[in-house]
Amino acid sequence: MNDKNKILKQRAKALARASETKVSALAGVEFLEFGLAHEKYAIEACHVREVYPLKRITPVPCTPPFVLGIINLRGQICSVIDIKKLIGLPHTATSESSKVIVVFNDKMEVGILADDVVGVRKFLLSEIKDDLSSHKAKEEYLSGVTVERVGILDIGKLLGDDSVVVYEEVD
Amino acid sequence: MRSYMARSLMTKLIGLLLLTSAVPTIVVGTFAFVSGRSALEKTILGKLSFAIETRKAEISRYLERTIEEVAFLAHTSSARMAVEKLRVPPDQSSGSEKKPDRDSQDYGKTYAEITLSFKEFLDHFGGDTQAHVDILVINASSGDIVYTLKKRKDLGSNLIRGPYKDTALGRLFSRVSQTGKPVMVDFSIYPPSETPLAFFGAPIMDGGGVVKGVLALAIDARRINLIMRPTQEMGRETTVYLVGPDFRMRSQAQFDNTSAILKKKMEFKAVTAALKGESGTAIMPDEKGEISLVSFADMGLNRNRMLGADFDWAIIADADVGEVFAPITELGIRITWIGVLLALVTVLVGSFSARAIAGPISKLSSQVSRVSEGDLTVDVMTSQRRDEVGELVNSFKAMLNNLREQTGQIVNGVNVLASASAEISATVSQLAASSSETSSAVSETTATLEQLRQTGRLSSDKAKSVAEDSRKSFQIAQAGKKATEDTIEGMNLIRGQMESVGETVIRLSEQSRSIEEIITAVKDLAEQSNLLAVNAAIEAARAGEQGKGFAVVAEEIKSLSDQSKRATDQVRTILEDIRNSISGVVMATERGSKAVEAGATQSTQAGKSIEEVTKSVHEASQALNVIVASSEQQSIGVDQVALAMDNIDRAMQQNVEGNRQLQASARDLEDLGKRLKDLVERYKA
Repeated sequence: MNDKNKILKQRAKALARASETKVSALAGVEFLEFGLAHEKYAIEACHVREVYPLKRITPVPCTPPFVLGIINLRGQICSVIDIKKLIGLPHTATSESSKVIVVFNDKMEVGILADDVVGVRKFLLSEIKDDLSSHKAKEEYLSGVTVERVGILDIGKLLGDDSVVVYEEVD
Repeated sequence: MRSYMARSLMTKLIGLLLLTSAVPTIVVGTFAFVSGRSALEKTILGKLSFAIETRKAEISRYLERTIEEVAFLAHTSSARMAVEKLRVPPDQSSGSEKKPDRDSQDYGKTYAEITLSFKEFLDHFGGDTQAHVDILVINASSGDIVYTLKKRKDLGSNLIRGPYKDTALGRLFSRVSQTGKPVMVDFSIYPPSETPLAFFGAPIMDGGGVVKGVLALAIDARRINLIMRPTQEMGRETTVYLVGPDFRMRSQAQFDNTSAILKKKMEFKAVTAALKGESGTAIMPDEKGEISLVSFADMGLNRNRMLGADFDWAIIADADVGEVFAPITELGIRITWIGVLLALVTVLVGSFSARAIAGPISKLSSQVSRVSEGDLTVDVMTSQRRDEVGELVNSFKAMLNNLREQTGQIVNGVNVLASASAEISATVSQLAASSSETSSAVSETTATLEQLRQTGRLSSDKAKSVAEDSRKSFQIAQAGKKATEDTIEGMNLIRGQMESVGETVIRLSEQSRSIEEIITAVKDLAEQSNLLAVNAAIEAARAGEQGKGFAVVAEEIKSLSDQSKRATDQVRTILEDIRNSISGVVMATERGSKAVEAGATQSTQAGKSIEEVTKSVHEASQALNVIVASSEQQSIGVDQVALAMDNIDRAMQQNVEGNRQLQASARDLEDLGKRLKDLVERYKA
């Protein structure tokens, strides 16, 4: 029983340390780190509603190609887009690990297809650099890159882009 | 000059002709001259000797006759009468001329008688009386000259005391008186006559043999001169004369105008020798110093007892060389003139003919020398002459043409030679190269042959061993066949086992599948919890301060989900492994069973194959025997080939040798060609 406790304690310590780091770094910001076209990106967690597993997308006709379709988010209909095209990343196929990141700003709420979701991480502001060339994404959508080479996507730009707005008519 | 003469053919020819004409002429002429001269000499000397001999004999005879006459005359009565009857007064002594008692009648009568008697006698018995000058009778006891024929001064003088006692007559008288024998006395100037006279005296003896008187005969040299006179054929320059002991002549040489007797002195070697008593012939200078042919002898008067002479004369025949040899000299001169003329003619003729001969020859010679220097362009004109010179010229012309042709051909030939030899050289070097290649190829072949032989032997050995092995393998095959059957049985067993294994495996895989499903469920769960955790974290983040406790919880959940994910991963991995192993096993089993089947089939096949193998082994062993046999043949063949290769190799060596020699020869040929070329280039054709 002592061993067990020891192990538990160790775990607790490890975990505590992790949370300490989280608590101490008041200067950092919480980001949701995810993978996109084999690169790591992150979005501010305040703009993320939730992460939903990708079950089945229902394609919607007469939509631009980056609109993948709609999903049933606990009774709610959420459109999923593939921002790779927007930000100039190469296309990757959807996989098991693909998740939908529901992001929102005051204007709209949309689901972004991510190849995989790493988790929520706190990045110190000091860690964020301006070297935007390390990522394939268009620079206008990146607001920075961390030392760990995680591209910080600017949600505002992303969601405010005109191209996101779908306005098409069908005769 | 000499060299010039020696160089020119013409002068040589002329000189030769001259020589051939001159030399015989000279030789013959000289010979003729000399032999003629000597013959003439001999003849002349012979003639002279003959002349001397004859004259000597004649003179001697003459003198003997004269003395005989005198002796005979002395025996006549008249002589006695003269002695007895004629008298001169005794007291008329010497000195003055004594007149005999001539006037007496007695004397006259007697005198006339005597004279008549003497004359008669002499006419009857005398020989040549022309020389008699005087006959004298001298009384022996008184010494008076009682009778003289000529009645000169000496008549009546006394020879013992008188003025003429020392004359020749006196000497004669004394000698005859003393010896009582006839005596001759040499010529001398007799004062009474003042001419040279010689005296002959004989004793006038009485019955008792007492010398009563002396009868003397005085002669001059007339008769002697006559005898001594040379004959016409002796020529003008030949003289024969007598010389007395005083070296004065006793005969008159015909060329002297005045009397030379006792005057002219002939003193030279011949005379001296003759007076000594020698006789002979000689060519010597005479008294004038001129060379003459001389024959000399002594008269032998003092040896002639009849003459009673106390002196001797030398008889000399003297022929002047010049005159004697005149004809010969003339001949010599004529010969010389002829010779000169001949020489001139010869020179003329010779120069013409020499020119005729030497002209073309010298021209030819100059042309030939030009040719010798290398100028073949010389143009020789055809000669019209048909003799050897013409032939020579024509032959030379032909030869020159031939030479030109030949030289041209030689030049061509040399060029060809040069090019050919160059080609040969090239070819030879090629040949050398190729033969060395061949040689190396041959040696390689030989090596290969050796290898072949070795391998042949090897294969033969191997074949033998294989035959052995095949036999063994046959046995093994048999065993194999049996083993095969056993194998098949085993195979079947294995198959059964395999099947059971397969069933087990299927069950296993089914169970693993169920595990898989569980895993998937757990994974799913973990996934969802993760998602939940993330969402919780998001919410917590959004909640801000209030959400901190929640964040921790979310964190825990996340970690849990991670763990379970990991565990599921692990399990999956293990499962994967198991499945792999299972599938591996399944595959293996399948493979195994397939293999077993295949094995079984193969065993059957093997059985069949073994049979076939056995058969083929059998065949093989037979074939091997054949192989062995043929391999032996092959080895023999290889040996032969090797031998042939050796021969080839040796031949190659020889070839190389020969080639080297050929190369040398080719080089020599090239040099020769070059030399010939140089040689030929001297001649411009």
